[in-house]
Amino acid sequence: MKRYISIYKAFAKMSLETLFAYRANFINSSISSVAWAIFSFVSIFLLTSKTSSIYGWKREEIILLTCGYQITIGIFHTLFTANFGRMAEIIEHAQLDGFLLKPIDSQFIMSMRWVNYTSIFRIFIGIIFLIYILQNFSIGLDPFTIGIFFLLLLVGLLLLYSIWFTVATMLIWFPRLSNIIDLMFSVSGMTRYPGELYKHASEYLFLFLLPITLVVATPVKFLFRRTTVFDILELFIFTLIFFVFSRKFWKFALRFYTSASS
Amino acid sequence: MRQRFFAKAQNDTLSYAMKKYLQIIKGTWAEYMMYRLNFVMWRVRMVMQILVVYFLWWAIFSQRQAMPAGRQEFFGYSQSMILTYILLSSLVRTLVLGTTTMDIGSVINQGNLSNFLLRPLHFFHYYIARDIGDKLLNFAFAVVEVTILYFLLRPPIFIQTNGITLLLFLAAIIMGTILYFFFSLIFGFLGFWTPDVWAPRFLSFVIMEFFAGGLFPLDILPKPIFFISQLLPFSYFLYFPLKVYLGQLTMMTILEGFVIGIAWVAGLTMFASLLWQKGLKVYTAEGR
Repeated sequence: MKRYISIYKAFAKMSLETLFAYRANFINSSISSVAWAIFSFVSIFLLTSKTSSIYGWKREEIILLTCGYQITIGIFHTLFTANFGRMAEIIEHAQLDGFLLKPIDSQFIMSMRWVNYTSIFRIFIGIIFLIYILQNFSIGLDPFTIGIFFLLLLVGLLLLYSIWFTVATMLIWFPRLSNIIDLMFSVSGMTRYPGELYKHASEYLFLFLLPITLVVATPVKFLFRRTTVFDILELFIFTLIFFVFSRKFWKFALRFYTSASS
Repeated sequence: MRQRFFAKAQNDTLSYAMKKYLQIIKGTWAEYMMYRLNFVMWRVRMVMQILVVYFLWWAIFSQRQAMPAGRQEFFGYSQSMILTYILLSSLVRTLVLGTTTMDIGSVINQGNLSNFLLRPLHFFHYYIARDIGDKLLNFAFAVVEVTILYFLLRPPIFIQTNGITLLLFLAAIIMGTILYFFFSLIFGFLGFWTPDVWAPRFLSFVIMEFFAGGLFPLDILPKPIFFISQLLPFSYFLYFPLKVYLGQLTMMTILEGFVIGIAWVAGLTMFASLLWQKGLKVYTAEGR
């Protein structure tokens, strides 16, 4: 464990050095990231401006969902997304051998090799809006609730990661399918609206999307104390299942890696 | 005799040019079919995006239906207007925003541009033909998708029957298409001066996604922001054509829109050609 932490520190440092080498790129991407977050807040404020509630979600709760989404996705993009983009490239160009030969866990290096610092700003914006909404709608919170909120957020993050990794593993069989990573961006985007939205549209679609709709909604529901024990169990169980599955599936998939064209 | 000879020669060059471009279009399709699973994923993503926006609007209106008749509209939009706007935007999107010019930056950076300079074909024309291929293929898929969605969801939609409005709608789409082509080309030409071509383009995407009006019609924005959005080129990609289709604009506003849009087309065309000429002077075929 200690070894992994020191390896991760080295990865983080290397990513930071890359960042300093391409400063203009960093500034540009940070602006995009911030603009993206602000636009999504403007949109949700506008769209809910004449609406008091949607499917049992009050207006401020829907906006809080966007806050939770920005924080979760900000952390996710910082820690993982860049790795999935590279994973598609690495597998397509058959460079995976080089990673498999390293004396560390292959899933670890595939999903944590690069850190994308530009998305950190998005986390801040999410937190700023979170505080603003909590004050504006005078939702009082004790430290305990906030602590549990962040804990559930981390569990949701692990669930999101496991789903992404499972999907990305399919690249081993279909190396050309790099668009599947792009598709996952849209899938993650669905977490910013209440699951009820999809439930009312189509039950089948909802069942299919169920795990992904828990990622942000469960922690946010806890903020205004609407979470039941069942909700929390549901999130934990799905996370456990998906995480274990993502590991097993990766190990299984590696048996089929052909290293074609290397 | 001589005249007839010239007429024939002219005909030949014309059909030769046509064949040339048809071949590029076919080549683009062949390329997509090579990566067909990827293309299907791309379409799945597009459908998902449209569905999320659609369900969101559906939810907003389902809540309003309980209200008295006068208050069911949302910023002056009825449910059918908005749902038509959203579904139609996915079709207009393939025509206006479908492009292959995204890779021009790396074509320049990797020195592959030299291949194009050697060919008896203008670089711009090559990409216009490629884009036509991309747009047609995506449009065909989008038509099928929207038809399926229509039969599955059975939304109330608004069908425009006025011939003149439909012609104006078509003209607005063509204007938006030309505008976006040169807009995208300019971002590609940055490759002449810097290897960082993705970051500025991504920033433009972010701003465009918001100001083109794909998520909601721009006129629900607060007045000052709406006014600014009308001066930017983005609103002419989706919002303006869709708004013309819905027949919610006065003749005067439509005219204004075309004047500003054409001014942008002229400006961006000149700017793109200028960048192209200047860029070729500094092009070093690096990487070859």
